[in-house]
Amino acid sequence: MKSRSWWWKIVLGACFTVTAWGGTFGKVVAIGGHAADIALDEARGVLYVANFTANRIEVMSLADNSIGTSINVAPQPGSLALSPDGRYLVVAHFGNFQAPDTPRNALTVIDLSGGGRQTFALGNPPLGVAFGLDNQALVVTSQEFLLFDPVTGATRLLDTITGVTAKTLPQPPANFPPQIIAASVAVSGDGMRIYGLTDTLEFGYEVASKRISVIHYVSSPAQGPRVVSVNQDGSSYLAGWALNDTRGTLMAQFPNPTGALNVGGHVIDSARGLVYAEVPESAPTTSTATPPQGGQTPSPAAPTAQSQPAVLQVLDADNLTVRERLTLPEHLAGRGLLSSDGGVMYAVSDSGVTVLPVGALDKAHRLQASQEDLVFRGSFCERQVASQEITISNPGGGSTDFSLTSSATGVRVTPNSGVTPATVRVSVDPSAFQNQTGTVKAEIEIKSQLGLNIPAKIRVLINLREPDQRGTVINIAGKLVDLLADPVRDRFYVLRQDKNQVLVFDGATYGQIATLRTGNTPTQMAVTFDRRYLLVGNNNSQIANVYDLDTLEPAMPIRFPGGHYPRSIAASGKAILAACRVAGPKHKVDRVDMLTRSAQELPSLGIYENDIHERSVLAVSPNGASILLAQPSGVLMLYNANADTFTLSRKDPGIPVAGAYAASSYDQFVVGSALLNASLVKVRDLDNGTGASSGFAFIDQMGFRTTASAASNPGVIQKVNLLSGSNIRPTRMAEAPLGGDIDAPFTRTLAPLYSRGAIVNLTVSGFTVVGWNYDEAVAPPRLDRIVNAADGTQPVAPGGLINALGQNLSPVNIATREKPWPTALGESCLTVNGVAVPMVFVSPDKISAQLPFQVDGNVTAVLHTPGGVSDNFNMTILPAAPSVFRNGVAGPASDVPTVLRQANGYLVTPSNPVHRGDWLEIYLTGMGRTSPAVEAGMPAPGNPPASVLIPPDVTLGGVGLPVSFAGLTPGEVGLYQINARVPSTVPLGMSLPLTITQGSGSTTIDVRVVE
Amino acid sequence: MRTLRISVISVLAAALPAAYAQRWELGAGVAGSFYTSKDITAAATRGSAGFSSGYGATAILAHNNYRLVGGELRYTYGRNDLKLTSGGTKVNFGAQTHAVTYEFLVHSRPVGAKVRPYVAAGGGFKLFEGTGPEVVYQPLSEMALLTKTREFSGLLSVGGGVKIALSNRVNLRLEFRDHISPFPTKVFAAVAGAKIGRWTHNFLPIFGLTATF
Repeated sequence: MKSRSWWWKIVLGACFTVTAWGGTFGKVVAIGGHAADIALDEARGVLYVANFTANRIEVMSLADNSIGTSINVAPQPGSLALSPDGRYLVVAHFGNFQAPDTPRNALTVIDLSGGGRQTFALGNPPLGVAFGLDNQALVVTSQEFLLFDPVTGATRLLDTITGVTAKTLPQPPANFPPQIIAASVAVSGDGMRIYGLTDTLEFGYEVASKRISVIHYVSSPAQGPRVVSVNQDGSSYLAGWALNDTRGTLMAQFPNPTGALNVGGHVIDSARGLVYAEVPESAPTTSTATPPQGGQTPSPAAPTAQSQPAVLQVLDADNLTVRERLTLPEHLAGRGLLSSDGGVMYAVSDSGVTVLPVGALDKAHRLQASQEDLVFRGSFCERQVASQEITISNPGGGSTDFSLTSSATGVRVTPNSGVTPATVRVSVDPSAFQNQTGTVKAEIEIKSQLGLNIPAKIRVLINLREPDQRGTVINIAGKLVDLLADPVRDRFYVLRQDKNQVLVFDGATYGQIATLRTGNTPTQMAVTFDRRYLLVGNNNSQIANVYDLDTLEPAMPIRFPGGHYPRSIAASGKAILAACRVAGPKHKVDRVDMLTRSAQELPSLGIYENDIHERSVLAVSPNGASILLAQPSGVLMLYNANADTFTLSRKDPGIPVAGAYAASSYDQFVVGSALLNASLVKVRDLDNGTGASSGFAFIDQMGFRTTASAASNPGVIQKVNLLSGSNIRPTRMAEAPLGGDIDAPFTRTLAPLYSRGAIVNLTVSGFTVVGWNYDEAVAPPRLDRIVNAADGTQPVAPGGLINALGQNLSPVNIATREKPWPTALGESCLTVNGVAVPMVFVSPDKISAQLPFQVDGNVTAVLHTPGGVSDNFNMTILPAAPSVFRNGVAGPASDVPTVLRQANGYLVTPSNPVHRGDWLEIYLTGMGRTSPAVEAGMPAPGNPPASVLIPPDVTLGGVGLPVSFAGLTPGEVGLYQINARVPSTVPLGMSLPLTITQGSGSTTIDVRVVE
Repeated sequence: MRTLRISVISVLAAALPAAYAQRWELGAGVAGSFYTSKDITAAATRGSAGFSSGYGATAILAHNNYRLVGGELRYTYGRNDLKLTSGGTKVNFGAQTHAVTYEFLVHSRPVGAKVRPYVAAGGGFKLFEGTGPEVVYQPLSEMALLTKTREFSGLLSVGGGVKIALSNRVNLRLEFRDHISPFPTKVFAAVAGAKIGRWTHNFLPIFGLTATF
């Protein structure tokens, strides 16, 4: 045990020496030939490498990664397996030479303990070999499954194989072992299951029962890299680019793979729940043409993997969500193996073997930014240069160089290079975007000489709205593809595709309340007609996820037939249908059985063939009577729940092939800008003058519709008169709704909430909440009082948190979690002496905000809303006006002062009294300016913390308390904190005055003190 | 504190004659510990305040320098949760007590008898100590607050028992004591306006063994 930890450290040290200089992860060990397979022998501290072209087994030391010895063997060692007892190494020789040469297919057994060696001729070329826990090797040839006993040399035929054609030798130049052998076999960590992959079939072998199950498959592109990795207990395995479970269901796949057999590799780390993989991705398609009818598993693409940079992905083992990307020194090219402690991955690669110290990734040079998105929301109140700080750090805590590059001229980063950890300031000059009234996107790219990972670009979102633009924008990072309001609960669901998540939001506060994990590349959501379950279809999983909407917990998923990817789902009163992308010539509609959580392909769609477009979408009418099937080909179909069949199919000229889609309870439908009747006949075109269609929702016998002329322009929301087709009061939104793309031409971006309090729209930087009556005339605002937010009294100070009270202060209730706080929220904008005030909450009668630090004395506050501008409100800002918050909760009491005992972290109350010797944390506001200075709306710094310029005096029962810190609470906005110790001389009592005096300001609360 | 000092001095003074006695007893015992509850009223609410049933342990140093009269210094540990009930609500809070007493014992049989019944009376002091976890909100806090703090008080002890000689040097004791003390109002802090009974009885059935020397 001791010696193993010793060599492990040597390996790590050696690897990091290399990676540190090269900026790549891992060390390459060249073998002077083409490696075909590897086997790990940790007991002997070596890795066996099958050198396919040099006819030898290279023995690599795990201690120093050097090739110490080589074992000469018969020609073309193609695959290796080490017996579980560590005694036998079995080598399968792929010697499938054609005449005039002689086939040399064979099996060699090397006795690693006794030194003996024996070679057995095989009639057919062996494709792979793996040992089960029973010390018997499963040998897969092009014609049969053989069970080989290395002790006796006996071979037993388990089954025969059909449909596999082995390549012959010699092959044209520049072909590699994975392309020649084109097969891989691997065993689970517990030795109980073996899985294999060839060009045409996948198989599973149960070691205990010696039973083989074979699945013939079709795949486009090919299942590359041609390698199989199995998890510890055999419950899931990666074959090429597909992750399957033990039943052969494809649970997730790598999006858009090239399918190259000889580029890439992977291994499953069951202990950490991760996959380490290189599976090259095709270059993204930029064409906007409608793809042709019919398609196959991933989008077909030229296998250009070899020319792409070598990148190792770290992914979640259940749905292949990418966590991190690391630069490799060269491409992997086959099997990956993980050391038993999970510390080191060994992988076949272009030069031979690459050693990857995955267990010590935390110590490697890496970079990450503290935020995915930076949101700059200027307002009509403020057109000044805005800036925010972000932290660039090494997740492992070390120092790593970095440089930052902005994609836009108006976005400046200072400093633009440095060493982690570092705080950089991103500034946006509004004048560079003065003609933009929507949201402009820019990017900041992070690069490094030493850093091994490829950090995601930081998205910079700049929004400078005009007073007439409606809606409150809530930022959500990532690629958002679907929006659905719960039909019976006041919440809504947003599908974040890049992280494979459903984000659940509360309909009253718009705060996120849950995150649900989906399959890979989720595309659309649906709620079952009994309103109990949320269903999520996935573009890269052959399952639909199911979630219990009462508990927000995942339930058993729906398994689809092999090759069926449920992209779109709709639940009517009778049937649940799924529009599936299918690995085959035709894409299909499947019918879901919720009882068995399975789906069946419909034999036909009524009188029509079950042959739909790959990117079709389904929309159900709220009353469950019908399901609209809209296709980018222009073909529309309608399922009728009463007839329980498809009753309509039409393709009329002028039917849009992209944009919004929706179905009403009154036999009306919308596709793009076309309003259709119960027979799917277009009855009128909705006005397209405001831009391309994005979202549509039927409410009663009216419609809401959103459009946008460009992503950087404001979107337009309007009501639609369904009788006349006319638009009612088109109103500009704060930013544009999301548009479709080639992969998802139809969009669902508008969701009226169940409570009918607001309409949520998926927009460029997240979602935008628009009040239900957004287009009604709004009364002008009136400010009645401005008080401190802590105890509601009049004295306020610079930087203090305040509540502005009055009437018509905002058309909507909205709170934000953004930091820094925006200066325009919910269409309201407050200024003090002309300086915009950062806000955190707005409602018709109350605004919560932070006063600027630079204004004091007699000042004037003015509020701007869609209803106009308020009268001037004159007030006095004192240099210091401390007041303790009264929002602590203790049982039925909800106005408890926010004084905490450090001893137990609880609020001080009569049942948790102050003790002599205690340390107290007092949370308050109104303590004025600080050093270092902090901008209003910005989170307070932590190192150094911002201390108040006017020191406070704190007394308890008349006895002074030593204060160790008084200043802004790190990470919070406008929240101050005093840390003080209670001396042993304070008097005891049920109610003693705790007084904080700062300058001319003072506040007192009563607390209980005991021994 | 003043009460405490006086009690300690008085106990020590009473024990002094024993230092010159010829026969001593040293022993220990285990006890049940039971308190009487007191009514508590606050505004229109009525409840019951006191201690849950518990257990205890005791250590004894006794002298027998007279034929029928003796004395003993005793330490008694008690483990009883504070308890407050009103309506259907009940609140418990960990607590323990430490009591030191000196008692005069009057026996019905002389020194050397196999069985010696006796009655006892004396006094001492008691430390009440709340030990439960402090929480932000305690139910029934409108009546009283069960508090993690310490409180001293004097006590009177009365009782009796029987000493049974198991051998020349070992006695079995079966005893009973009633420790009468003021109700602890710091550990058991009644809120303003609440009224609570003044005295509490702590009944202690004790089983012990002593060795004579």
